[in-house]
Amino acid sequence: MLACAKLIAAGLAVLSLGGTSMGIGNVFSSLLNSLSRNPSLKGQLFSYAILGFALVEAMGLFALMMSFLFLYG
Amino acid sequence: MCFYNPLEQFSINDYLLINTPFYNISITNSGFYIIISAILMYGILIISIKKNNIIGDRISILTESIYKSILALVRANIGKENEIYLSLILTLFYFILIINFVGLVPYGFSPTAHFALTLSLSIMLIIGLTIIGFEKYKLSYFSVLLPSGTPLGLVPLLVAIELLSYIARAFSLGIRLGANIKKSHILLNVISSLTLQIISINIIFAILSIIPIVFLVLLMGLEIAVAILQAYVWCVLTSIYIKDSIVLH
Repeated sequence: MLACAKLIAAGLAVLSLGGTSMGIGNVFSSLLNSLSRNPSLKGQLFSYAILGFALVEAMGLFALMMSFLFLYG
Repeated sequence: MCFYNPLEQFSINDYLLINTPFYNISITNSGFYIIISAILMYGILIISIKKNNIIGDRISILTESIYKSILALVRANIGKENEIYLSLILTLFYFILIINFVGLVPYGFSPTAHFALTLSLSIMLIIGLTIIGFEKYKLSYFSVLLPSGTPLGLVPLLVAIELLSYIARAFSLGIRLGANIKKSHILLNVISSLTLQIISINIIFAILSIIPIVFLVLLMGLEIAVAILQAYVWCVLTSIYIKDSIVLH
C-alpha cells in the first residue's frame, strides 16, 4: 500500500516539469524575439538568457528531486 | 526496489576517527574530498602563476580567462567602484567548480550534493552581507525592506513580504546548488544501473544497449555543463545580493 502510494506520488511530482518546459521555452523564445529585433546585443542577451534558463531549470529540478526522494528515499 | 538504491552514494563514512570530548572532528569522505579539491585549486593556481614566461601555456590561459570572465561579471553586477568583492566571488567560483568536478569522477563523492554544505555557505553569506549593510548604513539599512514610493496602507504587508523574500534568498541559493548536483548524480546512477540490467538479459539486448550507453555519455556532458553553470549562477546571484546590500535604492 505504502509502496503503491510512493509510486503514485513520484509520478504526480514530475507533472510540474510541464510548467518548467513552458518556462524554458518562454525564455528562449523571448531571446530569439529580441535578437531578431536587435542582433547587436547578442552577447549580453545570451548571458541573461542562460541565467534565466538556469533559474527556471532549478525549479524543475526541485520537482525531479522530490520524485527521486519518493522513489528511493 | 528492483535495483541498487541510488541514494546510497551520498552516505557519509568516517575515514579517520578523531573523537575529542567536546566535538567530533573525524575526517569523513566529505571532508576528505574538500581537502582534495582545495589542494587541486591551490595547485592549479600556483602552476599557472609560477612560470614567468610571457606567452602563457594552456593552464595559464584557462585561469586567466576564468579571472577575466569573473571580473566582467563583478563589474557588470556590483559596479566598477566595488571591485574589492572580486576576491570573494572568484574564491567561491573556484571552490564550487572544483568540488563539482571532483564529484563527477566515477566512484567519487560530491560534498556540494549535501544541503549541509551549500546551505551553511549561503546562510553565512547572507548573514555577512546583512552585517556589511548595517555597518555601512546603520539603522537606515532597514529601508531595504520597503520599496520607495509605497502608499501608507500597503506598508505592513510589503514589509512582511520583503522580509520573507530577504530570508528566502539564503535558502533558495543553497538549495538550488545542492538539488542540482544531487539530481545529476541520482540520474547518472539510475540510468547506468538500468543499462547494466539491459545488458545482462541476453546477447541481443547487449548489442542493443549501445543506445542507452550513448545517451549516458551525452548525459555526462550535460552534467559537466550543469557543474559549470551552477557555479556561475551562484556567483551571479551572490553579486546581485552584494549589490542589494551595499547600494540602497
